[in-house]
Amino acid sequence: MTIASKGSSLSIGSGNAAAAIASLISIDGPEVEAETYEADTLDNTNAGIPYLPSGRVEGGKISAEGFLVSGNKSAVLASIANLATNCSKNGTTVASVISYGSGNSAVAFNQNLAGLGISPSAALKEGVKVKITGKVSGDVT
Amino acid sequence: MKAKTLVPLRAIGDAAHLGWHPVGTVFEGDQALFFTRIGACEPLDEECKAAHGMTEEQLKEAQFAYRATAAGIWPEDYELFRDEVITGYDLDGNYVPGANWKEPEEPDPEEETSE
Repeated sequence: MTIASKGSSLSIGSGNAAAAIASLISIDGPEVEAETYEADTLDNTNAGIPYLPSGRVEGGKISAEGFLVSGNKSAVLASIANLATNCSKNGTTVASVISYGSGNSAVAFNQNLAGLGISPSAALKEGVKVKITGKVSGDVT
Repeated sequence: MKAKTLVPLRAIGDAAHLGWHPVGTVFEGDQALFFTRIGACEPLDEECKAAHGMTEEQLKEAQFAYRATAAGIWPEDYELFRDEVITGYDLDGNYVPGANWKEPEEPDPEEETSE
């Protein structure tokens, strides 16, 4: 697998289109987990404890850190406002695309998120940094 | 309120089958305003021009910043991107040369040995 480095960007959907709102420093992908349960019985004489799939899927979370679109105050505020709007859409799926490589070369993953968390901070002489977390829905869409 | 794209935007949701919205695609309403404010679109009508709240200079700067962000350019390399020395990074994070790229000069071996 290619390791994403400089050249990655995070895009957030608005309607039927996604626009880049941040160039990324790091990406952590979702830890998807098929849940299990302990299926032991009182009459089990084996040493091993048996587990079985519960049939439920935990979608996990994604997180990323990067620089917001930093052309000027309006562009930065628009980026933050769009992220904040998406954060408030509790229970609504929000399409998110993280691509890496220059231009349109590749997509790291494309997840429907149940909700977003953001934490912007101004890095002096660098721009507006932002930490983004997203809860991935377990439902495959 | 209308605006048209200056760069391709990824198509999602019910338009995902398109892959990308090409340059020149027209968006309306809140989409048009958001994409204009972050520099991905240019306004097409007076309503959008009045709503985005930026001067012409700020709009141009936002459009440059959007191109840089879409290419994943880090702030330290903004000037190289602006001067078209680089167009982005390859998958290893190295510079992709632009129109004004100059190969770094090789050190003169004679000069090195004389020291």
